[in-house]
Amino acid sequence: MARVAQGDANACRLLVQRHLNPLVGLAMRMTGNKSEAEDIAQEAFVRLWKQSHQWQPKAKISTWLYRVTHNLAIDTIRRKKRQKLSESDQLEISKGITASQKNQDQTLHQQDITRQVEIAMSHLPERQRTAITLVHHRDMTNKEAATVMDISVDALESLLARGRRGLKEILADSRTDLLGAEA
Amino acid sequence: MTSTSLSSQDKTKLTFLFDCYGAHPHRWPEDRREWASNLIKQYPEARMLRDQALELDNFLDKAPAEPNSSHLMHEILAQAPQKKYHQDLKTNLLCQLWPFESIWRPLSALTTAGLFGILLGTSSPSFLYNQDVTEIESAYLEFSLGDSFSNNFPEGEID
Repeated sequence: MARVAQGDANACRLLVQRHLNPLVGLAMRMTGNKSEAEDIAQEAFVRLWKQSHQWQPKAKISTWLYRVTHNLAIDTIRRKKRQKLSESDQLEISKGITASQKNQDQTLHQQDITRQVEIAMSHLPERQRTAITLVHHRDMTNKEAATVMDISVDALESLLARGRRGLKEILADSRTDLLGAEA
Repeated sequence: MTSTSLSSQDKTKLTFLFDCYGAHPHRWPEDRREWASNLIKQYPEARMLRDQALELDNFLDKAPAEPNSSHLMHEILAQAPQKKYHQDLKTNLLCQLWPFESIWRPLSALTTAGLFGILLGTSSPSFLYNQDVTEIESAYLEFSLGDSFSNNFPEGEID
């Protein structure tokens, strides 16, 4: 972080390279909108640059970035809450997912699994999606994830358990297809 | 005595662990890792519960939520803290002159010595020139500076 504050271009580049896509991914899971997610991740980095001169090494940079991203995404969701999530937004989730899959050059079957899982995830409440993303996809410990979400470890576990059970139920109908596609 | 099936308490706890964290031990909380691993080794029922959780883990792994947003890199880095060129130039020159850490040490020593010299030169303390000339010193001065002494050597005494 000291190198970032001194304007070390390499340190800044490494930091952005490592965290940009996962942060956009988290924000996208939360808001369901890729362009909003990118704005949020960008804003998180801008805040980090501003903070770099008076950085206190109390927290890991990654935890700090995720927490800021999480809070910014919550703000965005609250702003949007007044207006109902329209059909076009829902469509955008699927489009965004499909576009990212194409970039990753995966097989059609794998893309299908990804799409179905993402759609299933989008049906979960936002906090359950966030908890699963932090613990499963970002490999955070329960304490780190609870810090990011500003909740207790017990509350996090409750969200995780309900979220994963919910996903199982949603995916139950297509389970055989998904397992076939996976094989 | 060993039982062949999981106790209901263990089953409930293990199911909750898998429900929260999935089947991979690296995601389990450290304080429950060893306990769960032992149950899995010991009981087929525990392994069955683990395999069920593994299925959902595999599905989740297919949707890693990492969209490619590398096009933002340039814009984000443009706002990052920048090095100042003049500051760099000065730093580099100083580094060449003094390649060790803490340039202030030799600089402060040099400055102190210089200031002391100037102070000494300008104030000219009396002890530097008002000294009592002893008899031996005056004899030495007469010997080394006077011109009458050398002319009075008696002939033949010096080879």
